[in-house]
Amino acid sequence: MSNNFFRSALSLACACSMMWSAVAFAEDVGNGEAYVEYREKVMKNIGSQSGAIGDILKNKLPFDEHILVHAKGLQAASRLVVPSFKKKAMKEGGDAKVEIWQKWDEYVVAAKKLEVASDKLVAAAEKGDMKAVGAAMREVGGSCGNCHKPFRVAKDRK
Amino acid sequence: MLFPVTLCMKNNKYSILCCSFALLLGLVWSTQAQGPVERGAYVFRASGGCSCHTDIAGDGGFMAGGRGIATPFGTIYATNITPDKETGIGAWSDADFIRAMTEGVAPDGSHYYPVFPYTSFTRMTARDLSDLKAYLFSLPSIKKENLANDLMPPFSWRFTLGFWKLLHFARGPFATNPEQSDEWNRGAYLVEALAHCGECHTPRTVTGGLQENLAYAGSVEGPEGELAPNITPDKETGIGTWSSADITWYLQNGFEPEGDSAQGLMWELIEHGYQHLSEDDLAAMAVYLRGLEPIEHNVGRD
Repeated sequence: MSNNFFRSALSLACACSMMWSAVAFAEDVGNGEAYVEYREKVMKNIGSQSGAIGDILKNKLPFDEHILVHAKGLQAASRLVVPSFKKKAMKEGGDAKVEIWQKWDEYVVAAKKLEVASDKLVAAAEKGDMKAVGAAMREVGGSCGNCHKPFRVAKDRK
Repeated sequence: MLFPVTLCMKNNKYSILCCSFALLLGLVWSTQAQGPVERGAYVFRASGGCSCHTDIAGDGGFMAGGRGIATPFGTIYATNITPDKETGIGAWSDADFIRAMTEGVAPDGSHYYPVFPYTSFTRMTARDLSDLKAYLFSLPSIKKENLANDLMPPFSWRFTLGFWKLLHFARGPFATNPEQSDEWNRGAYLVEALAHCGECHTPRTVTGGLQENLAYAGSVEGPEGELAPNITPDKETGIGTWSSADITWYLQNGFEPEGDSAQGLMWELIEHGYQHLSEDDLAAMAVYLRGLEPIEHNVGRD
């Protein structure tokens, strides 16, 4: 009986210890590099889709029908931005400013402007209206720039 | 328009002359159809939309000043340039405006700090200056007192700016280079006089003058403490790998060739200014920037 009690107590202690470790991990900024790596891929995906649309438009490449594919990719990725940043995770030399979590509500408002802009981009691309695509790309650029200013560390050119 | 076209059809000999005349008429008409306020709005945008004069973060009024510009010498507060007669520039004469823009001297005779880029605006044409004034005077008046700058002596002593000008200020106007194309010259005028790119992208000396040997080669400590990258065509440290189309696209949308976006002050300049320029003007800026001497100058932290 006492043996069982001892085992139960030990199991409970282990479980509690693991649970608290998990909580500590979740709050420990220094251990969030995997989150940062993931977030960076989400943001790079948005950059790649924008860059691809830019390549087509500015160089007049014969890929107008590709624009809708990239626009939908951008639209889908735009929905991942806010959830990806929910966990406060930073790394040394990273791009995210701590203001993201200090002013979370403001951050969400700024980040969600990309969702609205990407919806307009998809609508314009579906119509094949290249003028509207250009205007929507300016709005996408604006949503990126206006969110990066307060919430992203200024980048350096190597 | 019908007359010259009909004539063109009847006699090939006159066709080129007549069509050219018709085109010229159209061009003159379209230019004159825009009044000074509309033309001034374009000049305003080509200068980056004067976004420093609006306290965006503090919800200040459009062009009503109050925005603090952090410099290595302290914080300078942009002034009210709305047409309010008491707190803005509404009481300024044309001569006052031109003197401020081209000499950096206020109507009361005091010197302006060069954070107001009169060092570039001094190259503006008389017509652009006149149009810009017409546009600014068309804006809603906002009564808002200017804030005192937060500078340490000796930088707070305005009279020292007279000496600074002797060292670092060369009065305009813009000099056309006859050996270069019209497009290059237009780009040079836009970049050097209106868009005032060199004010941020050229590093400064300890006395705040531009380091001419590093023109456009990037500055670690730009306005508001932001890094301004090397925009010479150096392939390693500048934008030498960018095509003319890349530069034009960037100035329209803020997207770098890889898809990363502009931020900070540069985005403000694009949003309120450069993205509203014509394709031809942006292409001219690209031609000029790509023709600069490539300077290897790494302004990154790494």
